[in-house]
Amino acid sequence: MTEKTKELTYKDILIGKLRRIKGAIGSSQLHDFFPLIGLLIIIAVFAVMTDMRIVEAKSINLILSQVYVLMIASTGVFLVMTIGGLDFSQGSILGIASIVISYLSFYSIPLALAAGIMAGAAIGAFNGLFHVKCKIPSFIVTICTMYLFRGLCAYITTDAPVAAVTSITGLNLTWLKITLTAAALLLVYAIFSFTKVGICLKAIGAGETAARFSGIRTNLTKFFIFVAAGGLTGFAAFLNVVKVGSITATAGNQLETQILIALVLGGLPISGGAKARFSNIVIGTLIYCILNNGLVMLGLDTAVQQLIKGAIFLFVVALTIDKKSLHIIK
Amino acid sequence: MNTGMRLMEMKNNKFFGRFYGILLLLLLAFFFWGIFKILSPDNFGTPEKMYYYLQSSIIYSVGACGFYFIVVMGLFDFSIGANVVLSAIVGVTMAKQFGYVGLLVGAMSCGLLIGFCNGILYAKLRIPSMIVTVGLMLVFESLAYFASGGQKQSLDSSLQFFGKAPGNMILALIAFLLTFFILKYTKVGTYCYAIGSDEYVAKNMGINVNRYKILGFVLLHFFVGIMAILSVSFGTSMTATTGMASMSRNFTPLMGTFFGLAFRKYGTPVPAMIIGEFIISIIFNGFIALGAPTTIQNVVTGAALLTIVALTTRPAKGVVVK
Repeated sequence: MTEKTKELTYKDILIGKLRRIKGAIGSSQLHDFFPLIGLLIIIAVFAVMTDMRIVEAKSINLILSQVYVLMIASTGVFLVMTIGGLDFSQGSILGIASIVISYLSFYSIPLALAAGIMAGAAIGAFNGLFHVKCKIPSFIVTICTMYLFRGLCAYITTDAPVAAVTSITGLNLTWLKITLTAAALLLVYAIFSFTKVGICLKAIGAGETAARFSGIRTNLTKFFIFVAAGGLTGFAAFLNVVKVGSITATAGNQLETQILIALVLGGLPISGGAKARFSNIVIGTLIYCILNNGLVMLGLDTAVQQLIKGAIFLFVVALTIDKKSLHIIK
Repeated sequence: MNTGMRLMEMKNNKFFGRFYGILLLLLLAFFFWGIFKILSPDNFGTPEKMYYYLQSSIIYSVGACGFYFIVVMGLFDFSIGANVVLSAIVGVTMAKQFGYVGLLVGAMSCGLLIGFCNGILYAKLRIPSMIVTVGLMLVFESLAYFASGGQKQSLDSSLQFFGKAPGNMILALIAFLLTFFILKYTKVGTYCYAIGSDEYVAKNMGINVNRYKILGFVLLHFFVGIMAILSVSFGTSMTATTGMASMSRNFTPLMGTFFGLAFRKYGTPVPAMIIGEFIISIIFNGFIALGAPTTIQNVVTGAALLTIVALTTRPAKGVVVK
């Protein structure tokens, strides 16, 4: 009898353990690691396919040079998407802020940096004002402003590209770009994770009406989030100017779509809310840039690269998207 | 009786109420025409030029009609531009073999197939439409590139009936009437509005929401197929591009859809989309007549659209807008 009880207990333990593993696989805890697993898989796959060339210092440096602007701009959009909004004006913000920085760089580079952030924040305020005051969905407002400021950027650069002071490209130093990117990320991370701002944003994303009745000033918060997103992209524009030295009509072209793809690949739910994780930004932008560079290193035709990119994007999204948090799929 | 009261009375009038929205838009079109005619009397606004503006704007109006079916349900599609390019290339390729039949059947069936593919992937994978169509846009752009072999595909000069009046007007008119008919007299139109209004309620009322969403995508891309025929006939050729360049083709039809949504309350979304695109065309061509570079187009359309949406949106108090 005692032996039988002992045997059953072992079985119970074994079954219990199996159930816990099964539960963990299906649980949101493991689900949260899917983007990270995806990043590691992509690195491993491209490392094998490129004979480890993608993990060489030269390649890493090249990938990082493309990450800075995307990562900083994605940080702002991450905040907007956490509240359940969308921002499609980031490319045009980058273009306008880059022009402002280029003009003012002839007077003072710190002044140009500050003005770039201000210009971005001003466009963000424009977006926020229309969204909050006129109650127009953020998607529609930012598509309109994307058009408006993209056109303005093209208009200003019609005759010739807008050149910055030549000495500004001397700041195109890896350590400086890493420091500035890290500073922007850490600042937003600290605010998002250690102040009540993060909770407020997630609450608005999860249920705006409930958040409002909980005492959160939803309209004001939403307005300032758009300002912050614009300001961050204005900051990213500085690194863009440092890298390219002069601004053409295509500055920031398609940035908004790249950000959307990167954040979604990073696991950020499109509806925002409690599932938004700061790591979505870092992992997402890294996946996007590694994917881009890895496919180029394989020497594939542009159209083939894009086809693979599209298929991987759809596959990763289908695999990682948290359907439970989306009650209605729009 | 003051002007405001007269206006209110007119809106409430059984006969005039139905046409109030159209009247408002026509006045708006006349207003912009008047401004640019005064500023540039020689280069702008002659009847011939106005007819040309109308012909260029109806291409986007057809796309707007298609967009309306899904935007009204709260969905979106980023692959419109990629579809225009792919359907046009398929149409031109088939036209080389089968003439007009190839052009029409090729572009429309390609559009239908893309719509079905988008709808099925959206419904079965349960990925938000905005996300799934970004991925599909990348795929369709690549397919268009493969289909064209990376070369510009030109439509034979003997097959350009739909490039100018009356061919383009006839095809566009059929598309407008079809949209009007579907929205007004079929279950599809009614259910699209019902799903857009409250998906939960629609589902509980027995509407097969997924089926109608898929149908919405099919209709959207069918109309985009027609838009592709009009575009390639008007421009006489189509070049496939990669790197998300087709995205810019998404937004001009969307402008018309916004007009349709904004004036939906007057019960005339289709005329609103047609006149709305015409207004955008007037403004754009007005600036060109004044000597502004073509790059001003986006500024104008963006500002005009934002103003119109802001003026016509009347949200309920306390409504949640994301």
